[in-house]
Amino acid sequence: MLALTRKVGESIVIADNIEITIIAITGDQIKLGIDAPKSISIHRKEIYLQIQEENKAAAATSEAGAQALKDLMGKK
Amino acid sequence: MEILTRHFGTVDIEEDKIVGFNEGIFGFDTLKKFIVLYDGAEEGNPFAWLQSVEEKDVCLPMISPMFWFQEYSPDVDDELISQIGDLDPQALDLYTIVVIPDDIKDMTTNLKAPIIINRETKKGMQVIVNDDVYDIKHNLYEQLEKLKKAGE
Repeated sequence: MLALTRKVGESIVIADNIEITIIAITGDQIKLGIDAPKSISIHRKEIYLQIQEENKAAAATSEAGAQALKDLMGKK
Repeated sequence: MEILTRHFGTVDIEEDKIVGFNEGIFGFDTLKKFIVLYDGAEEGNPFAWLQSVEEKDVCLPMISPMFWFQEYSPDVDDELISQIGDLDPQALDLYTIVVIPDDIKDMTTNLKAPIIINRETKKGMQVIVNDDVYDIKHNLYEQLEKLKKAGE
């Protein structure tokens, strides 16, 4: 991992088209501004991790789960 | 061609129904080929299955959210979706992934990260929507009960 030290107002440029700026620092919270093309997805890491976990849970649907789904449809 | 599946044994599929996910899906970024399967008929079926063609045990249940949640209108940048081809809304199918825990009343769907498939280009991707209002775990059982009641 590359570590760079920046002050408020300073930026980092990634590839040619992503710029991250330190907007403000308040206590232990840092506000980051990110300028990037809309074709690039940007989200808090926790969101990515949660979505990965959900996909893994879905992919591991048990036989009982699949059967429950079939039964649900039968009732519908 | 025949493929092995997690819940349906050996299934004969049409190769031109295979959807290419260039980036895979979250948590499974090495799996690039999936097919949408239905248990029984496709018409009117509330559930679909995203089955990996490369890894038989990876099969994710999905719903078409428009059928279940009429107001579901996620905000996704066009530039992001253009990865899977031209943005003809008629060609795009939207699904959300379902998690079925031991107690079916706890079943949820991920409205925050839907699967988008372009039927024309046969490409797909999973996107994270911009809206904060959609949950990663949105209870589906409650919605099912509402729909049943409405139908009565």
